[in-house]
Amino acid sequence: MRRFLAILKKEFRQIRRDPLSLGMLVFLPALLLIMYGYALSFDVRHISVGVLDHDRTRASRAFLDSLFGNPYFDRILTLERSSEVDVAIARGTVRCVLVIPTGFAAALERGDETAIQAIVDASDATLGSTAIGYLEQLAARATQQARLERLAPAGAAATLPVVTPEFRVWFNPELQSARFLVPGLIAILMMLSAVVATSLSMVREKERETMEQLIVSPVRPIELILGKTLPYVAICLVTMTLVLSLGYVLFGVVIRGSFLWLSVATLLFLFAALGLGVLISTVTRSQLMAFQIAALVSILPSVILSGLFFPIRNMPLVIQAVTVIVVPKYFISALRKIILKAAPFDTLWPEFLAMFALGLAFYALAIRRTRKAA
Amino acid sequence: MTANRQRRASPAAAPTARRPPEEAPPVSIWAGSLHRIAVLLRKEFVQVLRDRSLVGVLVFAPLVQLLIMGFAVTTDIKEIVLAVRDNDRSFHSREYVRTLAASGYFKIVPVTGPEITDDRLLVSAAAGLVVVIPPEFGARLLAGRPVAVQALADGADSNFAVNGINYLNRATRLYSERLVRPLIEVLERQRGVHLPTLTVHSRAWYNPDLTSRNFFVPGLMGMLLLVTTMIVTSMALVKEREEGTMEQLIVTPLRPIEIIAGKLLPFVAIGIVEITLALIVMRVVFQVPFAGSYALLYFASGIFLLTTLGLGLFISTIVHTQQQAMMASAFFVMMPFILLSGFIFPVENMPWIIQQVAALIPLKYYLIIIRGLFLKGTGLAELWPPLLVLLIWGTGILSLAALKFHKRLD
Repeated sequence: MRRFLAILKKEFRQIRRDPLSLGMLVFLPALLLIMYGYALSFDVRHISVGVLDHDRTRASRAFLDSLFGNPYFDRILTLERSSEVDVAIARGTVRCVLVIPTGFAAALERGDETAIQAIVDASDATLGSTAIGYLEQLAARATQQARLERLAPAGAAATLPVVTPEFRVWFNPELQSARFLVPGLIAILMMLSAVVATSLSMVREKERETMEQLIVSPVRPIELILGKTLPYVAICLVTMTLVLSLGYVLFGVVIRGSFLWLSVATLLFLFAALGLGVLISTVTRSQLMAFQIAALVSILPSVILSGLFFPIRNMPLVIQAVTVIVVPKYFISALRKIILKAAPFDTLWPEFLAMFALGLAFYALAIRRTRKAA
Repeated sequence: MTANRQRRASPAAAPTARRPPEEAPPVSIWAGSLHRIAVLLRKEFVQVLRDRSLVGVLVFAPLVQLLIMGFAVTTDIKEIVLAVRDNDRSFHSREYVRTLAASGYFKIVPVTGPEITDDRLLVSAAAGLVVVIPPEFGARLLAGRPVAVQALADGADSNFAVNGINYLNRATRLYSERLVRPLIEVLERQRGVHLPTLTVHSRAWYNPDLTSRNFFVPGLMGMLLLVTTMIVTSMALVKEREEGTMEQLIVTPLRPIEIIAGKLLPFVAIGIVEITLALIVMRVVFQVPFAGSYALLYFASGIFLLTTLGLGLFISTIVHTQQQAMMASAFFVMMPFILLSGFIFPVENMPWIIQQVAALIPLKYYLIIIRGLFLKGTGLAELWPPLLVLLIWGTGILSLAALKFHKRLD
């Protein structure tokens, strides 16, 4: 215990002497959260639309008007000729061009099926398919309205047997992507600080060749590793508190769930993430390798394989299997459940168990490697 | 490795040291410069190739990452788990559920039992949508009257929810239209009116199957190219300084610009190899269509490499330790590049102030170019503005780094 405390004291002193790194670990995640929280959004709104009206009748103008005046489409361009469509889309001036054919009003009057053409820049498939979905919905609504209007003066009850889903969106009624992204961002920023900080602190010791001194001292590997990681747990907890407060103040992300489960999730996550950092540092000799590996196993995979932006259930099974060892995956999932859904323990334990097991595995491997090195 | 470098550097430096550059005529300054660069190049190539793990990190790690992440980067939503509570159990309600299932968007899970379990389904994310069919569903439709079904959506993942809502709307419209169509003819005859139908014929240009992977995988290539080339360069010079071999390089007659050229060219070569391998993986494994010109792709990638290498070099001139180099490249370069370049989120959706920040990110322009080449088949006529920005960026950051590097030598 005394030996462990000595390591702890030494590590704290080293961190205090390097205020720049300390500041980076605490305030950078907060700064980044502010920036990315505002910048990132999946919300497909204000799609820029060009309009080419070949019909130029009152009916065509009325139909076009019914498509705008919502937050989804912004009419920013009126085209005169078909040849302009290619250019407008290739240059990226507009994402979508709506073409109303000649004879639109006449066909509508006759009751024929009348189609307008929508040319959508689908290079970004998410944006493209969402835009198409909105357009179809708006056209269906216009159809329904037009039919009922014509039926109403002719007879008594103007009803048609149609089914409409009435949506009640839970946990995030305005469907703001900030609600969804901020808890995930918090997890990613914590992952970055935790893995990078510990892997560096261990490798620094190796490069300065002070690791030998620690190893020949009577400190046992487990005491050494705990003593070196606990200070970072403390720092990361401070960072976590800071980013959660910012998430609440700036983005209105209220923590609906219990603080107890939030703390448990955070501690288990830090246990696993710091374990990973220690493990990386025990298997690498130089900082160059340490960072490459840290980048390999933390930054890009944390962003891409964790379910932060790309849903894991969509991935092929092999890749889903790979994500089993991606630590932030569980933290992101747990944070979303706790913060947005106020989830009770019986829906959270799989994430908790996974983080605990991964952490144990990382530490066991790290301790074995440290012992061998000694 | 250090000892090896010393052995290689000193004999190379010896012959040129006797002939200081300022005494030589202009032509041989060039010849001498080329010779010195060639010598340094050889040393750098030997050094890079000696380090097997570095070659692995530089060439194979990005490829493995491209393979794994290429499969992961998709926002296409295939099977949304849709829980259905059918309180009607009529012909119509069963027919409706069958239409939903046939749409291909949903995996239908029937639920029975107490209503309270519906929210448990959403809390545990066991279902993304819950549809509750009211008891009067079939009766109302038979009577020719509209009916609403209740749909609960899990809004925690807003992107998923938006898509789920879109799909449920579409499948439900299909069902309604099927009910209404035969009725319309009857009504038109009975009441002597024409009932119109308005539809949208959508044509998805550049990506007719709406495969999001075609959009993300080229971006991923740009991302990986940036990460490997920038980090390794930023560390190469810092390492030289930390190991104390920088002084040896400085006392050789090599000029700063020559040292920089010698340091960077091997990474340019590795970058080109990486692009070629990535291109093969993208075309063969992910079947991403390529509509543009390969020559333009290599030309643009070469210019992009100027910016990533320049950036790496610049970082190495302003930081003192490898640790700082890592922190700086992780927080100030990698994260903003991943998140603000338009790799995942469209820049045009960002607030104005963030768009100004994004305008400073070279990866943004490279992504415009490679997505244009892969998907749209655009040529130099459309792509020269981003190319020009990249060129200015690259030469600017390289000159700045060279200038800083020069100052540090004094």
